[in-house]
Amino acid sequence: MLHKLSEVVVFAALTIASVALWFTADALPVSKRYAQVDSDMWPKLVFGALAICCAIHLAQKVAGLMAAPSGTPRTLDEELEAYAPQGYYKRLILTGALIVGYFFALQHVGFLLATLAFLWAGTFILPYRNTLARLLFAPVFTLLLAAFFSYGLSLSLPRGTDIFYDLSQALY
Amino acid sequence: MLDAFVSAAGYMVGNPMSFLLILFSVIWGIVFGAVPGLTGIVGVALLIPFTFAFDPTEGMLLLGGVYVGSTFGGSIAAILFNTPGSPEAACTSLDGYPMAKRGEAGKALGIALAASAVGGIFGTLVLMFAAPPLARLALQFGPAEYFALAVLGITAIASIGGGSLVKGLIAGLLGLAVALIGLDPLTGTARFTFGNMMLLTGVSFIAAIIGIFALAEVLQRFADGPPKGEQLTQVSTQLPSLAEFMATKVTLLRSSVIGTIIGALPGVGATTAAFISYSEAFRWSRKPELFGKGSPEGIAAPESGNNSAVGGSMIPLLALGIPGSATTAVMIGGLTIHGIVPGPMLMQNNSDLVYSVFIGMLLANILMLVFGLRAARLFAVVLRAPYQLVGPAIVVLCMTGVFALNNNVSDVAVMLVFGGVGFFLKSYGLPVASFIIGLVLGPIAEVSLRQGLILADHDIMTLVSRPITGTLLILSALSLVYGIWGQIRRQPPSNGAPDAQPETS
Repeated sequence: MLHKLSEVVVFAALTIASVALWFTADALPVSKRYAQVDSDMWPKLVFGALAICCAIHLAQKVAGLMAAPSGTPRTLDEELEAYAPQGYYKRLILTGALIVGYFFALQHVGFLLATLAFLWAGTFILPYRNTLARLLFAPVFTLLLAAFFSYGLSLSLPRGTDIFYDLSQALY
Repeated sequence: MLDAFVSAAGYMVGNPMSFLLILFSVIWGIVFGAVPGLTGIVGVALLIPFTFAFDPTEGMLLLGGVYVGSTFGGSIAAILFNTPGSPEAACTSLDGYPMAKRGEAGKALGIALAASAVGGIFGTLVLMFAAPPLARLALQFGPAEYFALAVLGITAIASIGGGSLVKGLIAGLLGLAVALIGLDPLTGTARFTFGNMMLLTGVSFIAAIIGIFALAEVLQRFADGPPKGEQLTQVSTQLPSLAEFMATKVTLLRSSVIGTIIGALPGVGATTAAFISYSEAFRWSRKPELFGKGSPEGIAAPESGNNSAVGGSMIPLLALGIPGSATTAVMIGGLTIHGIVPGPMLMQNNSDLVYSVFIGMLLANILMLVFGLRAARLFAVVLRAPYQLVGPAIVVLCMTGVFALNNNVSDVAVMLVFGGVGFFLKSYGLPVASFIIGLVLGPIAEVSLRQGLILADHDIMTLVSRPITGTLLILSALSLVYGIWGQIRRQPPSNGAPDAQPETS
C-alpha cells in the first residue's frame, strides 16, 4: 500500500514538474533569427508529452487505488514491486550517505585517505566473516589503483586541500 | 585495389613489428574499454605521442587496434558488474548483467565476444570493399535524414515499456528531457541550467550512464542485504555453440548492417549504433519477453552493432577526411602529426597505408577473439570476491574513472545524481533502456529537426518528402505500430500483469 501511495505522490510530482518546465521553456529568450525553430520548440514538445503521459499514469494509479481498497489481495507483480527486505531502508540510507560522504572527502582529504576510509567503512555495511580480508583489501586496492592511475596512466587523482594537498603532492 | 591490397599484405608479412603492435593495442584497448570512465578515446589519445616512434602505417595500426579492443572491452564490465566500461557498452548491460546474475556470466561474455568479432569483421570488410560508395551515401545524409534516423531509434521507446506503454514513454521522455539541459546548440540560449554554470555544457553522458547502471546497482544490492541466491559462479568464458550462434544470425546481420551505416555517418558513432541495433532487435524478436532478463539477442545486437560501427566510422575518416566518431576525431590527430591528411586523396596517394589499416583491423578483430577470452577470464576472477568488498571497490573505480575524464568533480557529482535517477527508475519500474535511448538520441533528433526545418524553409512536407527521410519515417511509423500491436497482443486479457517485462535494470 505504501509503495502504491508513494507511486501516486511521485507521478503527481512529475506531472506538476513537467507542466512547470513547459512554462519554463515557454519563457526562454526569443531569438528573432530562429523564430519558428526557437529554443523552446523541442522542450515544449517533450515536456508537454511527458506531462500527458505522467497524468495518464497517475490517473491509472489513482483509479487502481480507489478500485482496490486496502486488504484486497495483490497480484504477484505488485507483491514483488512492494517487497523490501528487513533493514532495506537503513542500509540504503547508510550506503547513500557513505557514497556522498566519500564524494566530499575526495575533494577535501584527497584520494588516498578518502578511499581508504570509504573502503573500510563500506565493507562493514553488509555482514562478512573474514575480518582480515576486510582490513587488508582497503589499503591494497587503494595503493594499486593510485599507482595505476598516477604512474601507469599519468592521470590525475583528487589531491584534497591544505595539508592534505601537500601530502598528496608528496605521494603521487 | 587488388594491387594495393597485395602490397599492403606484403608490408604486413614483411614487418612482424606490426603484428606485435596490433596485439599490444588490442590488449591496451580492452583494458581501457573495461575500466569505467577510461574509454577508447582516452586509450587512443594516450597512445598518440608514442606513434612518433613508428612509421605512419605502424602508428595507425596501433590506434586502430585500440579502437577495436576498447569497443569490446566495455562489455566485460557491463556484463560482470552492470558497469558499462564505455558508453557504447551501456546497452549490453541490459541483458548481459541479468544473464550473469543467472549464473551464465561466461556464456554472456562469449556471446558478446563472438558478436563483437562478427560485427567488427563485417564492418571492416565493408570498409575494405565499399568505402567510397558508402562515403558518398553518407554525404547524402543531411539534417532531415539524421532526424528520421533518430526518430527510428526513438520509436522503440514505445515498444520497450516493460508491459506498460505509458511507463516506456515516461522513461524515454525523461531521457529526452535530461538531454535538453545545457546550451541550445543553435541559439546558444542556456536551457534548464537554473543559473548553474556547470550545467551549461550539458550532462556528461559517460558520467550519467555509469551512475545509472553502476551506482544504482551498488545501492540496490547493498540495500537488499547479504547476497543469497545469485550465482555468479560460471565465469569461464565460452563462445556460443554453432546452434546458439545460428539462432542469432538474423540479429547479428541486421545489427552489423545498422552499425556499419550508422558508423559511416559523421558524428553519430558506436553508442547510437548499439542502441538502435538493440531497439530493432527487440522490435523484431520472436521472444521480446526475454529482453531485459538475459536474452542472447539483447547482447548480440548491441555488441555487433557497436563493433561494426568501428569499421563504419573509419569510412568517412579515410575516404572523406571527416571523423565518424569521437575516437576517429582523435585519430585524425595521429594522422596529421605524421603529415598525412585524411581525405579522398589518401586512398590514391597512400593506398598502402589505407589497406594496411584495413588488414590490421581485420587481424585486430581476430586477435580480440583470442585475447578477449583471456581478458574476460581475468576480470571474471573478481566475481569470486565477495560483494561486500567488490561493491565499494566499484564505487571507487567509477568515481576515479569519471574524475579522470576531465579532472572535474562536477562530472562525479553528475554521476552521483544519476545513481539516484537509476535507483528511482528501477524502484518505479520505469525501463532504463528507454531512458538511455532518449538521452542518446534526443540531441540528434532536436538539432537535426530544427536544422532540417530551416533548410526546408519551415515546410514540414519538404522535410519529410526527401527520399531517405521519407523511407526512414515510414519505417519508423510501421515499426511503431508493430511495436504497439506487439505490446497489446502480449497483454494478458484478465489482470494486466505483463509477461513481456524488459526489466532493463
